[in-house]
Amino acid sequence: MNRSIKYLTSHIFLIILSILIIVPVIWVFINSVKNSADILLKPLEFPTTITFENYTNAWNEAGLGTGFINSIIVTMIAVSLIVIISAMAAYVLSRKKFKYRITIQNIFLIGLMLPTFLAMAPLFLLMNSLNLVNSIPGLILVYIAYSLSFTIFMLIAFFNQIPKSLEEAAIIDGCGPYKVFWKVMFPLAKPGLISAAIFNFVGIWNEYILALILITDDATKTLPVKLANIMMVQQYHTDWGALYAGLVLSFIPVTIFYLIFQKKLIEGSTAGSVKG
Amino acid sequence: MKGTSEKLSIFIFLLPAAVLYLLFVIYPSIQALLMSLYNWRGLGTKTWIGLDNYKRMIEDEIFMQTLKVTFKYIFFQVPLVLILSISIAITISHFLKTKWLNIYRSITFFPYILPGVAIAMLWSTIFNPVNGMLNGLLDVIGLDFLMTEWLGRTETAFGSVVFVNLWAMTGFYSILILAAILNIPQDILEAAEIDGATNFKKSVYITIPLLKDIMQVVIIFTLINTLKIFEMPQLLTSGGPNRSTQPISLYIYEQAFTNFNFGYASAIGVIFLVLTLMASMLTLKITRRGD
Repeated sequence: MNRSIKYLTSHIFLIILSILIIVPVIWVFINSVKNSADILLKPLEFPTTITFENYTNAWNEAGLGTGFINSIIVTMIAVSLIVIISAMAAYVLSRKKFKYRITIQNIFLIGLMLPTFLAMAPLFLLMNSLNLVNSIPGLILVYIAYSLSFTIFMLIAFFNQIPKSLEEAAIIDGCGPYKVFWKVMFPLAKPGLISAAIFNFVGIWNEYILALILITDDATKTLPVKLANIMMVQQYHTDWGALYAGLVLSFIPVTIFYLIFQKKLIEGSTAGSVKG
Repeated sequence: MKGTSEKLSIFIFLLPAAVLYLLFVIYPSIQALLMSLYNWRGLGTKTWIGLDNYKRMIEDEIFMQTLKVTFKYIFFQVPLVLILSISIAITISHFLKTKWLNIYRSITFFPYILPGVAIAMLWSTIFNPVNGMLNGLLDVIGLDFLMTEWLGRTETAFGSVVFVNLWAMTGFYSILILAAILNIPQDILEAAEIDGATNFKKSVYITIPLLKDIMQVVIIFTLINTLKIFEMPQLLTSGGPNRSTQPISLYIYEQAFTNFNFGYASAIGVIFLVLTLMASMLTLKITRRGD
């Protein structure tokens, strides 16, 4: 009796919470398939007719198609390179003994504390002098640089857990340091590398501030900057339908990712702080 | 011979990370410290003005206002996130060993993965006075006297931005705390239950004291993330009305990229860094005092 009351109140509390989280998202989905008149005049009702016109408008007229493709390109390339470059550094910092190992590790640790807002103006000027403003490769390089500290520390912890025997066996068999890394350690570290990739995927797909500073040209803007533009530039004559469709476009990749990798994401984000 | 090739390989493995990190993270950060001592608009001459940028801040009413707003966000958000995420985590933990645990955990964590920009815009459409869901719902349930321009009035704008921040942030911390709760050995709780402890007593005397470490992590994270809020006030209210929702982060951006006062923006950036470091140290000090 006591127990079922406890479950009931817990359920009520969590169902209210779930409604608060899910209903706004569903509202966006529903509005994205309504026509403009219904959005304005019947905001709370289900659509009378379902239209995908908002999506074509968002993709073409509002330019979100370009933004979506730019975001996909930036995210894919940046995440792959982040994982490879961080794994190389993390492997050496975890396994090799050399003179300035601790110093180098500490320098990377500082990066976890430096806020983007500190370096904002000088970073823009640096990129400007390197001709990397409005450039997708430029944005990718900056994303890699700002993800390194976090990813390297995540992967050092991972490499530390891999037993030394396999690596030693490979060295005895005559593998050089590069072969040991690529053929032995990299495959062994795969679960850790996947976790790192998932985290960086979500972080970079959602990143806004750096892209806002470094990209002002419409052709190279990423999806978050494009979306924010619709809102700030159009203001009162916003095409609401296209805006809702654009929001859905920005939700889709991360939501699919979440459905597939949920367990890894939740466990990965809690492991470090709970055990550490 | 083997020694040098080993050294060379270490160098090569570290090189790409080191180059990118030093060039794009460390160099601009050091530049910001130096630039804060100059009057510089990005083009033209750079004039050394010593600490004048820092003196200017004290007299800059807008800077003081944004600093105050940042503290106001911290004052409201940190305790609210803490209380809400502990309550949510403890409630979810009641469903240990049932399918509900996973279901509620997945839903609670969900907002964390959505783009901040999209969350801000989603809520901005809900708060919209003309066709937004909130005013629509209030009208339907007969509370139409509460309908208002949520983001446009000083009385409601700040609370609305805080609400959206909570919506975006709380789930992540709830799951963090939940993971810590699930780590608590079950026999302690069972022993208490046999001794006749109620759920409330179990929470207050066993669960919450055992969560001290994780709460410290949550406080530091929330403090730092509250300092850093940017897209919510920018996209929901543009910092208005009358800068009542504009935090210091948004002011740095305004000084650098609207007014092109790169020197002054860097000086505020340095203060921002100091605040971030202070937040972490203060939290460590308070929570470690009892040990």
